[in-house]
Amino acid sequence: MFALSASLFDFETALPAPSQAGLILVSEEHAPDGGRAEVDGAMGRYAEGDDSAFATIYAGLAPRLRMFLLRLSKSRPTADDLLQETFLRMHRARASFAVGARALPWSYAIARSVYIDHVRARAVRKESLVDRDDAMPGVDVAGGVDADGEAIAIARQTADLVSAILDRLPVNQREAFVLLRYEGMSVADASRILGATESAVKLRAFHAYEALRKALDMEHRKRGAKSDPARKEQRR
Amino acid sequence: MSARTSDAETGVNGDEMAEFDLSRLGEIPDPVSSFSGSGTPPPPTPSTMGDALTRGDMRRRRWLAIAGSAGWLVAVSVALGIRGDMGHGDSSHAALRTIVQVLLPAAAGATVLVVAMSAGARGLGSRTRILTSAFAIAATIFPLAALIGSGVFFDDRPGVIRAILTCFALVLVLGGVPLVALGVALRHAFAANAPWRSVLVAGGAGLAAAAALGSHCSTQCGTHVAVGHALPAVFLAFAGGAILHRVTRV
Repeated sequence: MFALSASLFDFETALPAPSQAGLILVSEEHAPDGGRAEVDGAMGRYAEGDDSAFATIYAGLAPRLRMFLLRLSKSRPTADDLLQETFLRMHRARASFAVGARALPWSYAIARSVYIDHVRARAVRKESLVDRDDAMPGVDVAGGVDADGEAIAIARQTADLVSAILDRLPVNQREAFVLLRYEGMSVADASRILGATESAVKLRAFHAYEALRKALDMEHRKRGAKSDPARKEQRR
Repeated sequence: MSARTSDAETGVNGDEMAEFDLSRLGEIPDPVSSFSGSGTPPPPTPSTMGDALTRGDMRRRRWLAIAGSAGWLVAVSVALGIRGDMGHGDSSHAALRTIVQVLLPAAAGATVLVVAMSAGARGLGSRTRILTSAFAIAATIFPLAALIGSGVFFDDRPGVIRAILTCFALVLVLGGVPLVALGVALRHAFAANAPWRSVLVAGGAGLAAAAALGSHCSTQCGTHVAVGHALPAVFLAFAGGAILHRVTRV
């Protein structure tokens, strides 16, 4: 009954090439394959005990994981702490990294686990999820000499609004939305990372989208009403 | 806006969801895009992060846990004595009882262990649907087959309840050892879906214990096997899984 193949114990299952069919969106700043093979290879060597591969892994994964944790936690110091914890856990669990697997989804799953623990710990201590003192400011819109001041203000307001709505969403909706919209994950990858079915992940992202869309539409209408002088006159 | 957005609140219906194009998520701006890559903290050094297993260590641990668990179950079965009703009576009935009470739980246990420990297509384990289906099938097929294929549905001889309770406790004790061994071998092994994968691992230990007990307990009562052998395996899956996932998750 325990005649299991050796591959089971070292996860040396031949992994198929990741499907690109489910790829939805890729954030502009993340090239989909930039250095991926190098990081995957380094992770494989690291799992075999080659500590020198760690620098390559950190350089390849840390910026993306930090952004992911920043989007979830909304605080730079917290994101940095969670990033350190993520790499600590990756180190601890390196032996379970499957041969031929992709390092990025695996590291996202660990980062997500670290964030969930952070949320739970905060809930136990009854603390807010965002430290107001170090809360992330709104988006830094590049404001050159010719930049339109009003456009910058609107972009900043919109970013703040998105950030606030994301903050109020349940964690499971927020993480599904962040993975699909900002991290460029496919639905299949996101479902594995979140430990949910693909339809559940789509539904969570859809709920998050609906909430954000409604808030943005409302804001847009409000702004339109403010800037319409005829309406202002009518109100008077 | 409420923090929880249910279907009713958002006015979502099945058609709306089915028609939803995920590329529309791109309509929502990114509030933190300007921070990319800036000020990433320096990397920790592996030497300061403590000891970590390598794949070779992990492989040895898993083999040891599996071999130790199998050895424990075989040793206990031999010590308790192999059931005496196998060579007696109608050979087809004896064969059916062997299949239902020994081979079926053994096969189901091995299957759920393979599913739980599999790396899956992306190295993050099997899909959630596969994990839950494997558990549902393993948890139902054994008791149902036991009720149908053990001989009689309920044997109302005196002492039957005590015998059932004894077997229930024996499965828990027998399955506890493989559960602990697998817990040690699978420490920090599941980066994703750890709760379901742990339930399957614990269920596998319980089913293996039920198979070992089935090789000793010479009952022909279907209810005895379903309640005394199969039910504790399911109980162990949930109770053991709830504890195990704290150890197996990364």
